[in-house]
Amino acid sequence: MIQVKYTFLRLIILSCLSANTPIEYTIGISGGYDNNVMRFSQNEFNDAAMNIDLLGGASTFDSFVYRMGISGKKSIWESRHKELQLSGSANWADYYHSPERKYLSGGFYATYRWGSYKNIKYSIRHLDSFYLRHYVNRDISTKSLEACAFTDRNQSISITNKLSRRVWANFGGGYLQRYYDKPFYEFDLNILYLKVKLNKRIRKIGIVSIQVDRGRAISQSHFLPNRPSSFNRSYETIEWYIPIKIQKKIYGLNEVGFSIRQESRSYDAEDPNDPLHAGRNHLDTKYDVWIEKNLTETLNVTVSGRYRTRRTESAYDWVTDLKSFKQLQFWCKIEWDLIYDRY
Amino acid sequence: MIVTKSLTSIRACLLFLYAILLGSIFTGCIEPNTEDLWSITIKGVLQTEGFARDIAIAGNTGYVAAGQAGVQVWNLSDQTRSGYFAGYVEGGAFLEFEDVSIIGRNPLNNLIFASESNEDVKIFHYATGDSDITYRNTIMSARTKGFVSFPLADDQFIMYAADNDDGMKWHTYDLDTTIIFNIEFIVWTPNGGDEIYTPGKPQGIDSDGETYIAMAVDQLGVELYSIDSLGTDPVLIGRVDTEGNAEQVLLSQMGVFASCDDAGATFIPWQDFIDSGGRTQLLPTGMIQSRFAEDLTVDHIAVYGVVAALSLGAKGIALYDVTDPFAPEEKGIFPIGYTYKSQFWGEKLVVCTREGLQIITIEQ
Repeated sequence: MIQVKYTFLRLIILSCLSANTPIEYTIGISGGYDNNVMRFSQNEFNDAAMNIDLLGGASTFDSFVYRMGISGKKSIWESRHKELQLSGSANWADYYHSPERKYLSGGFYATYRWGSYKNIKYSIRHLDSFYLRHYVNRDISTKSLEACAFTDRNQSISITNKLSRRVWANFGGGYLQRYYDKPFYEFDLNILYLKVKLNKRIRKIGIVSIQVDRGRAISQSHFLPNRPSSFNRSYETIEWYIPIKIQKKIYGLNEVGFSIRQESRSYDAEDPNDPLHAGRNHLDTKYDVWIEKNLTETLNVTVSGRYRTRRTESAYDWVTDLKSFKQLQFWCKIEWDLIYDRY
Repeated sequence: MIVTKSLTSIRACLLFLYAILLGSIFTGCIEPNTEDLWSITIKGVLQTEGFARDIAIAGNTGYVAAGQAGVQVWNLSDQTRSGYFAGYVEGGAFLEFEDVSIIGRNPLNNLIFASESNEDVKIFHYATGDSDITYRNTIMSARTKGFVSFPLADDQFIMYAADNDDGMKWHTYDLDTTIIFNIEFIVWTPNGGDEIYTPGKPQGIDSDGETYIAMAVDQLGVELYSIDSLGTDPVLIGRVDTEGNAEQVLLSQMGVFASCDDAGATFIPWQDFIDSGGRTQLLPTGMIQSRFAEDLTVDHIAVYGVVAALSLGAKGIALYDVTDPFAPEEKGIFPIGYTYKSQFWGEKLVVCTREGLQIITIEQ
């Protein structure tokens, strides 16, 4: 509710701004499919088949997903090649077959440009109560399952600069607060990260980029009162991401893209009482593919797919089995670009 | 011209900062959710060497059944041990304790009652400052699982015991001193009392010493007896079956808390015992027994005010808010080590664990 209030507030602020420039906005609607909504491991599929409560009210492991969103941007100040632009977005997603997973997300962005591929951008993004799955609330019980959801508040600042004629780079850092809803506060994390991205436009082909993120998640739960959940969940993370966008028209398409993203996460915990985290690390790999087609000047459609695997390493085989999973997602997104210009 | 351009850039930068400020003020950082669970602070761990199995507190002194380390006396205020009795002298021979598991204290007559696992109750004389405990005699019988005693007068006390194979035993004991061949024999002899048969297998007992005696009778639930006063015959009010095995009981103002092993805990209001004979109507809301901690293994319950401390064996302790005993609220499980029993010492909780005695404060 608070987020809805803030979204309205942003719209009011945007509507009060100078009308010398138009407001460009986009309405998007997506439909999709997720074959493993709760990221169950193979063993958990078997467990959930025996204990339906693990599904948290869902009756299937997979789900149809729909998402609606609106984004907009407005230049509030321009002078020659310089520009200050405010933009924002709000999205609503609903997993049809997973009743607990419905969430709002959005963001607000301010970008100051002083040339092509030269800008500084501040962004604040919010993900509201993103449901993961049901977990046992070990602080009060040994069996009682409760919904586990978190809220993200991610603030970042990045600078983009041109390095050569066809090469530009982004460098930035951010602060992500990942705070869990009651009763799973013990998972709360403050994540600080740095990000570097190099981009190169290849003539008559498209854009190739490489991005490296380095982050440190700090957990406070081991400072909490001594409870079954009071463990150190801090971790180090490093992620690399390589997207390749082919923008030369292929069979009438506007863009074909592939990307691979791989995150390596290593937990600090060494506590033998915490086998779930002690000495654990994982490699989370996402392979994405997408095609984009502009149906008209203002209407475009994107079809995408993602295959994700997480391979966990732990001294405990059962943890390795429990925390490794595979996931397949497909999306079809239609966007309609619009301009609001009073003049 | 240069000045104008610079000013323009400054204005743009200020606008950018203003945008960041705007974003930060209206959304900015978020606060973590606050929890409504309680927390604990361990104020001290008293190393009892053996497992701390049970404690009887009188003032600031704790009399501890320390398992194979015998009977110990601890000053809880300064956390020092003032007595460590690994055994006792009987008939001129020193006998080591096997495994003391239950303990009681009678301050009026300077007595310590100690029972080893599945044994009878031994009486020892111990006055504060004594360097040793003096064995008097043995009372009750083998397979005593719990007892509660009250001083009646100088040289007299009453004890009610949960005897696993005999039912409830209760006797008044008087001090009897005999001198034979210049040797003084001091024993506590039973004077009145009885043995009350129960079809259940008594596991634990509690009494307020005025009106009620409650006894946990394992698979058959909890029995409640009434007494007109100490020394009068207990009269069975009723027996209420519980889920699981009733192992320990605790009387409270509105009813009885029962520890039911792997079936958790139960609160049984007085009315349930009264109606247990032949209830024909549903009881008013809130007047029926309420189960809580259903998925925990509860070995013992201690209550102080609105705080209930459940001993969970290997899982430590669980705290519950029993403001409304018909709907206790869970306030956290605390894995402080293998826990047998706990007892409140004022607002502090003294927990008997395998690591020793732990003195805990509870922050609500």
